[in-house]
Amino acid sequence: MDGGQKQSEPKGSQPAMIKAEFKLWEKARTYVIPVLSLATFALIWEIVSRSGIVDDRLLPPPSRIFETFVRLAGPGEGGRPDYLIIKHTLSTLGLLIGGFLISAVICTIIGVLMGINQRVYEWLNPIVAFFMPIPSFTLVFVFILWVGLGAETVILTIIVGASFPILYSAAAGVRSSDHKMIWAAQIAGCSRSQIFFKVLLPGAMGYIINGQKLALGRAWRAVIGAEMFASTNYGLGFMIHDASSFLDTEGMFAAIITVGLTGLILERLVFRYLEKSTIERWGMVSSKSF
Amino acid sequence: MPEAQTKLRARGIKKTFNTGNGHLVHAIDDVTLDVKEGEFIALLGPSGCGKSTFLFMVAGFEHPTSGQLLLDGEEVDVPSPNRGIVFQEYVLFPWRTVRKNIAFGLEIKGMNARERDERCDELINLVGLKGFEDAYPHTLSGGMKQRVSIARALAYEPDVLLMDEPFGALDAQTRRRMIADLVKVHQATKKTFLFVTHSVEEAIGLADRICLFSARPSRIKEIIPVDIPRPRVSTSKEFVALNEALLASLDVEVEKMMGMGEHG
Repeated sequence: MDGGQKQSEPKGSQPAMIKAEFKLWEKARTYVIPVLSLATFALIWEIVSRSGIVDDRLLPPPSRIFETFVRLAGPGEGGRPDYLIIKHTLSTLGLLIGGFLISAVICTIIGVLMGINQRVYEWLNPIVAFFMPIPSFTLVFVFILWVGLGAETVILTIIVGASFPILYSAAAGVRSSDHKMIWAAQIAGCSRSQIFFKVLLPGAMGYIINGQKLALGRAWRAVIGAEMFASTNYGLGFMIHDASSFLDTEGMFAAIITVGLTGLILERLVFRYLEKSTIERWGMVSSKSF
Repeated sequence: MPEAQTKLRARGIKKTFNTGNGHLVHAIDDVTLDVKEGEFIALLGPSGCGKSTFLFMVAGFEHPTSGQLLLDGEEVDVPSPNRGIVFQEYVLFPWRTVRKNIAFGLEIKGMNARERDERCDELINLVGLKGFEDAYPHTLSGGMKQRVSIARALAYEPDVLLMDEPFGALDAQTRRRMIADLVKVHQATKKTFLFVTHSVEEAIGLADRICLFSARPSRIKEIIPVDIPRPRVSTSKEFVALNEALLASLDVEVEKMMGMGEHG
């Protein structure tokens, strides 16, 4: 977490130990506080829905939602297939990752081109600016007409939903590059393509990663939204929609919470690793984790 | 010293900038200068007088509005590896370790990994970076970063080393060390150095000749040969005398720049 350790700090002495303890707590609190905060929230929810203030068929307590989750994650009974919620989650993740990767590759390339070439930027920027504020799942209905219900529509929605932050930040990253760094590369004899790969691209890494982080959040929203309308039998979005129409509020909340948790884990897992191994290691951002 | 060849020849260099809001700034009025091979030239002048602009023209980053700029008898056109550059802000590649920063130009040259390593080791010894080979730039102090930058510029064996106020951001102590070490580097490599500075002490400590730039639009006000034997001690009588004379002459130009209200 702290990539920039200076070499000269005294070790083993009393103040250093106090400092180490302090650091340990500093590290621990980034985990302890979120857990306590969520636990408090769940407790209040539990009390409210058990007290009878609200109808517990509409707002089931977290404990029952958890039971439902466990039941849905286990072997099937009656007409319900095995590991239902897990299958829904994997289906959603599959579409998400597929769509996101397609979008990341295409839009990083276009974005970087926008960053290098002023003409390209001037012509593409208005188009991007126009489409950006449109929530991506408004396009679901367009895509349903074009390619029908099913995975294709969901993937298209993700691609569009993820595209704008990736485009913008790749372009901004390249445009913000230090011209003296380019000079230093030119005088060392770099060709244009060498400048691109050895200077501009790594230099824009902070922006690119940041854009993809935002994009993953948008893609996650897009996939759930699209599945609600366009999915025929799988995905968490479909599950929420389906449970809702059968007034299965416990199943619905189990799916919603799965959406939240999976999104959080995905963001942490993928991007924390990517950031640590690149921009934090290079000192291009501070290494604070929140 | 044997008869040295003229490395760089500048004749009537003029530079006018368009500031974008319709104003023309006459940065350089007339710079005429011959630099001999292996010579250490300090370009001294008030901040904002155009001495860095002149350096960037020699690098090929900028172009004179008129005048003639010849390097080895050929018109300076685009940047190329017969010159090396060191900036005040270090401008290292943050994603490369010290060793890989230094090896950058060698990679571009297409040198193989083993030769690159050997050359890097030489330079790491020359500039005093032993033990820091695998560190990333953000973990280094300003002085260390500037050593990396100097090594990176020297690595691919340019003929001319261009330095733009390289010690401007360093504290006084570090700066003195860097001056002493740069003298050694110059003596060891025998390359031609153009060194932009607004510090009289740096100029006297380092240069064979000092070109004093006037306020904008700048010309070379005087060229002062420094005959003090090296290593030069800043407390010696000759050093102090030259220091005072140069400071007085520089102050006149600084005053003029302040009068323009665009100091810095």
